[in-house]
Amino acid sequence: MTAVLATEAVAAPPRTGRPGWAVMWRVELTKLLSQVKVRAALVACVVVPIVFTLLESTQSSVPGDTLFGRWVHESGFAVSLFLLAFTSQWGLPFLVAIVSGDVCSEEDRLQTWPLLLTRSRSRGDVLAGKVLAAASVTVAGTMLLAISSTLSGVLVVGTQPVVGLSGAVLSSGTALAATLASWLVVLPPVLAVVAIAVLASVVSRNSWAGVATPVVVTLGFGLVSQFSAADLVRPLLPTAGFDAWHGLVRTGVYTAPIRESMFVSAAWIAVCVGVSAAVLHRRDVVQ
Amino acid sequence: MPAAVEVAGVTKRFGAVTALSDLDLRVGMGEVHGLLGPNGAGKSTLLRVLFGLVAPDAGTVALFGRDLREGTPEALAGVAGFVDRPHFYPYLTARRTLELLGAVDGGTPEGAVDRVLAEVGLADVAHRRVGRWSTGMVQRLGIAAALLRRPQLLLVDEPTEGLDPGGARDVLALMRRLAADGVTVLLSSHDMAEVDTVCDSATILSRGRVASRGSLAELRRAAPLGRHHLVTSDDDAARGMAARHGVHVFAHAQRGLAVEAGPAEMHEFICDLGRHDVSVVVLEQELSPLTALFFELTAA
Repeated sequence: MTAVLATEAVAAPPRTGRPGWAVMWRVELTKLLSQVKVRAALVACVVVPIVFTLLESTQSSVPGDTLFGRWVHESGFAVSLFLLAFTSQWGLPFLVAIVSGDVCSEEDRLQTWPLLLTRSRSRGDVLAGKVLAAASVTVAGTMLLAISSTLSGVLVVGTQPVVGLSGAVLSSGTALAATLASWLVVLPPVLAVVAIAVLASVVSRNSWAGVATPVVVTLGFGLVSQFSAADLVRPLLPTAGFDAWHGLVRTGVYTAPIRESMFVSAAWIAVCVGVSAAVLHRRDVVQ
Repeated sequence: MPAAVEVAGVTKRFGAVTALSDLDLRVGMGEVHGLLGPNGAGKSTLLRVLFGLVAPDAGTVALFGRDLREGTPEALAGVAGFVDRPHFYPYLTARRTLELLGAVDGGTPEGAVDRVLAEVGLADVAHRRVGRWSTGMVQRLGIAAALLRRPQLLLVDEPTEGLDPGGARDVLALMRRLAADGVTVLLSSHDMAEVDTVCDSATILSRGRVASRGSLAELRRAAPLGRHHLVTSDDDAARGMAARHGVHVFAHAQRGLAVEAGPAEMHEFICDLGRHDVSVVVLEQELSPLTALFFELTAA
């Protein structure tokens, strides 16, 4: 070590006027985007729809069992809606798992909690930054999927009208608007699953548990929804919101499921983040 | 003037284990205070309490007169350091790490990151990711992260752990330099010699309690005699002369003599050996008085 610096050479850090949660949001966003797995997930959100569209365009048959699957050779918008239907069951929970499942347990795994908590921000600020960063990256990933699937569908297949879920044909303009709106409509349940992932990450302190939970919970909720006995519970599950966009891709648009989805997702977010904050606030950091 | 650190009656239990028991500690402004104890004595737990990482079950903690309540970052203003080994994000470079930590603190002045990296000798590797760094390099980065806060109170847990002798010497010199600039330092260690080198005062912990405390001069006065390993040209003659100087001598486990004496008695004894043409072949301190005190108090 050289003795070139005495501490007086380092002036007191200027305090910015930015609130603590905003500072931590930026810091956590930088950390997330520095991780290879997160970068890879975002790249996949762009590449997978393109690859799917190109491959599908070479096939003689269509995936007719999935919503809009039978129209993927007829309209580019059907490609995007087909991918929305597929990813809302599988892809988006996986994206959430990669981005959010490790966001707090990473600090346990790397033993870095003291690094954050012995500086100038409260535990509440740190958690808020983590939740906002995870939500931001997940929303960005979802939007990349939306843009990539819509653009690749339009460029490869075309902008032809698409047959809506009511059986009537939606014009190209209506189909484009409905497609983009549908991707936006899945954001509330996606954010609810982010909150569940954060809670799992805080409570378990285990990266694997944090990553597995959003996928398992989403699949579990999906399974529960299949039982008729779960009729009362189904609307209360955040995963019900993954189907709310169905009301947009039809003639005679209905938005009640979207409003319900927003309300239910907000409740899940509030509960999960609230419990996470309480657990983190009371925790002794001993690692 | 409030103390830099004021701990009163702090108790902390983890299940059935009492890590700290009714512990008091006071560190004055600008003091370099050693916190000594064997593994499990409660040193790291006490540092965690001081950082607000662990909430005490009883007692009060104040830093610069400010009550420390868990989750209130204002209480940690001017405080920096680390507990146990510092840990960092393996996917970030050293420079990015410090920039982010500076951002957490509300921003750093232009060039501050470069200067602290140079201070700890990491300027050349600042662009490398921390993931594969050696323990010593990570330790240096931990010190850099602490200096970036421009602390008035530095709490460090075995800061020379993992460093080569040169690095350890530099870190201890840095502690003294910080103290000369008015920074209060609380240095946790299990190495009595390290504390002896840099500290003005010390507290010895044993099983979560204060076993002894005071200035190093006070501790030395309370310490048992130090022990030396002595090999002479005529150990039988040396043994005979030892009694005249109040020096305790017994056979050494390897060869020669084990000698227990205070500094003045030892001085007279060695001079007397010379006067009687008994040459000293080996004379080395095996146990300093402070180390002997440490062993005595902690039963280590």
